[in-house]
Amino acid sequence: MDQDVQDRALPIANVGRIMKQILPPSAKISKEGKQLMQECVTEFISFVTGEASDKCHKENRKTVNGDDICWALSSLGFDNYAEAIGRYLHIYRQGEREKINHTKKYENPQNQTQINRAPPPPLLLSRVENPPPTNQSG
Amino acid sequence: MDQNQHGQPTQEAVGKNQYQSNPMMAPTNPPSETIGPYVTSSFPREKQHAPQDIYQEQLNNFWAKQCQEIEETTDLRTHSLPYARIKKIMKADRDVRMVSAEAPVLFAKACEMFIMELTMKAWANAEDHRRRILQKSDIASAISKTDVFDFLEDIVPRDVGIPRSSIAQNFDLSMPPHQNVTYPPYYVPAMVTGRPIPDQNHHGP
Repeated sequence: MDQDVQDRALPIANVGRIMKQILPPSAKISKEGKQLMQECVTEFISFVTGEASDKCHKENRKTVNGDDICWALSSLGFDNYAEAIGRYLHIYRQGEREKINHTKKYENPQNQTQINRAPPPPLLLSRVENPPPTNQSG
Repeated sequence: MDQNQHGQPTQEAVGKNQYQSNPMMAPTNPPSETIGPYVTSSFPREKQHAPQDIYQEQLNNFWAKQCQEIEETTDLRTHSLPYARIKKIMKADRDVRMVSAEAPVLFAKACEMFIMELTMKAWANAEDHRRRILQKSDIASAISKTDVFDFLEDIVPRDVGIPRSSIAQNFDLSMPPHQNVTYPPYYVPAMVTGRPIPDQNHHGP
């Protein structure tokens, strides 16, 4: 198999594992069945991504984000998916927010290491020697 | 939708009953007359309707369960599909410039649901044909039956999907009436639907 083609598809082992989760224990899956499902799910990603990307272009945005994915799913008729993914996105963003807060707490102890030292005052003492006498005649 | 009706389809061996009742019919009816029990047209209709209702119930339960699982999700790191690979597939589209970190995470979940839904529908097709191995043709049949999967028509090989639907139609339209049935040395029930399908040749390892 071509490595480049293989990299642009989801791993067939993962696909097969997910298929078995929904099937009865006694059921078996042919190798061709797994390969076709692998192609279908890869096409699913490209199909939805294309729809989301079109929306970004129309709105002059460069980054495809989670809301674009949800919108694309709904636009293409995958209403059940859009609803489920919308909830998933909400939970994900909550998790990210908590992660940021945890990071901030972790950084707080570093502030205590800053100790301001006052620079030492310059020495005012200077050697006082006898000034040479000044003669008016000279 | 909070219906939790648990109904499992039970496959009855109807062919055996017909075979056993055949000797009883022979002495009472002359061979020249039409034998009634073989032309029960209501049986295929009942057979095709009940599994469809059960299947729809399974699908509704599937989506209710998916939403429930998402609500119960606490650790998002447990994913079954690699994010890097998903991102690479997304960026294969030249129009896609930048992808936020959350997009592959959502796609991992969406693809998981996609695989499970399509597998469920494909398995329903395999069960209708009394098979225990999920074939490529089962997936092709599931795709042709669902509108939102139209974008996959190009991926599904034509020679696999079309003959199945035509064979199914032929079987539904042409119910063979058994007239002047002579008793063969070995009896083959007419209700068995697995034999005439050529896709049986595609067996997995």
